[in-house]
Amino acid sequence: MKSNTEKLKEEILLSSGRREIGIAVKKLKELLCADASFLTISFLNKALSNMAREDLSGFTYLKIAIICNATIEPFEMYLKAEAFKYDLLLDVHIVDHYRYAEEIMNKEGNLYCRECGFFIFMLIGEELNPDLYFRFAELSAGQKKENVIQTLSTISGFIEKVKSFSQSPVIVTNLAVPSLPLNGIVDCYRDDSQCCAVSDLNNKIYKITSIEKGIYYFDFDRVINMFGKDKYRDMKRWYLAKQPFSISFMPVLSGEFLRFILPIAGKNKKCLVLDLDNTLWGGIVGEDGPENIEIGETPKGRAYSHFQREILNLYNRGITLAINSKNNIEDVVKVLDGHPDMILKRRHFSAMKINWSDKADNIKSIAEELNIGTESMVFIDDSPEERELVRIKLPEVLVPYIPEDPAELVKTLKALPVFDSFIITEEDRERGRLYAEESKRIQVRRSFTDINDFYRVLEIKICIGEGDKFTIPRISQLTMKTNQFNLTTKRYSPEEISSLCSSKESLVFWLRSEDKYGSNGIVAVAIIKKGASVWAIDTFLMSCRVIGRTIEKAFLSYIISIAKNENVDQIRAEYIPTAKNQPAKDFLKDNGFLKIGEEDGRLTWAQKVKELNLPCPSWIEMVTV
Amino acid sequence: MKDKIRQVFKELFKINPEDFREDLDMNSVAGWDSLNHLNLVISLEELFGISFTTEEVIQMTSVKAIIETLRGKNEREII
Repeated sequence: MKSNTEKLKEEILLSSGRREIGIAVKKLKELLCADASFLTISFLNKALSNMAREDLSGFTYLKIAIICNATIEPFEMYLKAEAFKYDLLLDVHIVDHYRYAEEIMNKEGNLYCRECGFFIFMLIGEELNPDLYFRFAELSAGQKKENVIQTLSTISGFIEKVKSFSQSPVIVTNLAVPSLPLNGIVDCYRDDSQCCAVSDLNNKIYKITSIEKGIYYFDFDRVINMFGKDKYRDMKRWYLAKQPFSISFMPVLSGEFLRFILPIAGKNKKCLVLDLDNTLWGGIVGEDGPENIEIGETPKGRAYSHFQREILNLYNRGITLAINSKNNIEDVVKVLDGHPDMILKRRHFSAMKINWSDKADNIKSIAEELNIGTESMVFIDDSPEERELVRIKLPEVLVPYIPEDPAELVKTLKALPVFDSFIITEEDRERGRLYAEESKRIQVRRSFTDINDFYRVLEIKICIGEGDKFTIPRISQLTMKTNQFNLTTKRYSPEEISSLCSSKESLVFWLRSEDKYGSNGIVAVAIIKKGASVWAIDTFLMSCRVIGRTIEKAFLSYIISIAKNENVDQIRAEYIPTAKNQPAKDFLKDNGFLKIGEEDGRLTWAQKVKELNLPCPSWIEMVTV
Repeated sequence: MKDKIRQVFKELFKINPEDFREDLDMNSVAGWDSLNHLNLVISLEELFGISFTTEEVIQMTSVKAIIETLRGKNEREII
């Protein structure tokens, strides 16, 4: 008799042989969920390497390098498998552990010529500095101090080298604080405490990292605390082959790295779509009645309340919430507005689909309403049938397995590495409010037949300025996240934006907008590369939140006016098509630019500045700072 | 027991079940190098729900040795 796992593996081989990659990918995800053994991980790695990259539609491909002073294999297989769950295809280069120092120093070597998207720099403390871990109690006070300083300068020296040879971000892990220090239980009372020395070193490592510079601090000690400090090592394989980690730790460590990798790859999620009955509360409101659902101080109610708290925390970090539920709207409103134990209220939800329609169709209309892509959504529902339906109809939506026991809900949500981002901006914290204001605008718009009247009623005000240290994080974030109204879809780290801002050869503009319904914050960015007589628009993008209000015209008219002041002869711009930036396609044509070239779908546009007469729309009030 | 070992050899080293013999060893199986030896150990440990000692891992360099080691563990741990 064949096991379910074997059957799935055969089906995957069959469908990938027929190049039915969509089916193979779905079944591979099922397989990973059903059986996470090493053989499955190894099978998945082989299956992925046999698939053509171009067949994996919806996947993002990213080259990475892992620099470690121990044998990292087979961790990379687990990392690739974990990334695969989130439609990310990793190409991992592993630096041989016995020559990592040489590789870091060699500018022409394998490490840098591959043009990696980022580096993981992970040093095992015991291997890097045996004195600190095994002989610390024997050292003199001076030697102890010297030891920490030496280790820090080794680590920072390596990081500086990597950053001097590559623009890509580096993820730097800290060191494990010993679970049982050499001084035993009195360690913390002693001046020469070993735990304090490692914590102190970690704090110093933290200080040489910086989000702006693209050096990210990975709190490895936190991760092993979470997993269990006496379980994360496998001493047998360490003595046999310098493999540091236990097999059960590898998926957990992979997930924690993905919290960094997904935002680097632009694959983090923006919207959480939630079912209601037996997902946000226990019971069925339509049958049990609003007063009898389980939320608050009952055993199951506590679990759902805790789950709602965690969802509210995601909302506060900028994740948009939506409801997708088969229910009568009157019942739901009674709970959302009236139930005293509900933590999530109506105002937290930017879209609500409460009806008896197909849940996949509902998700699509939520995406349209919020002007976001379905690939940036996560759907949580207790019903396996509903989950399966959405997985089949909308494979790009992340539909995690939800355990039956509500006590497991919080853990399941927290384990999803898809909601992290490097920067939580003011705009993120206010996003829920912004979407709620947008729905008011849509209602007003419906009442006008002449669109210009609608614009006038909005009383749009914009403010334009040049990038500075306060606006760099948001500018970078917009280049990372904006997919629709974006001429070139070039992604820039805060570090890159910072150097563009300080360069004399480029200009970085941001645009903040507000209207009578509220402020939208910084919603548009333009980057200009300045030549002597020709300016090239390197980036011109606008958040989908404000599409359709002529703000882009006002922004372009401002850039043209600056070009006129500086006696620029010509402005050039490019449109690089992607799967999503159709909304920006005709922007240059519609505003007076002429097409001068076309190659592989990339359109080049140009126009003499004196020919460009684009006034700021009369309904927009513009100020500059 | 042999079925499971056969399956591991098929998946890790592409040994067809009909070519699987007890005298296969690290010298005769392509890909059975020191790194893959540890992957083999991980696979067997997971499949049988056991843990090999360092000495056992060092000695298990042939199919015959693997079977003998597993039989020894069966007597001690399962019966």
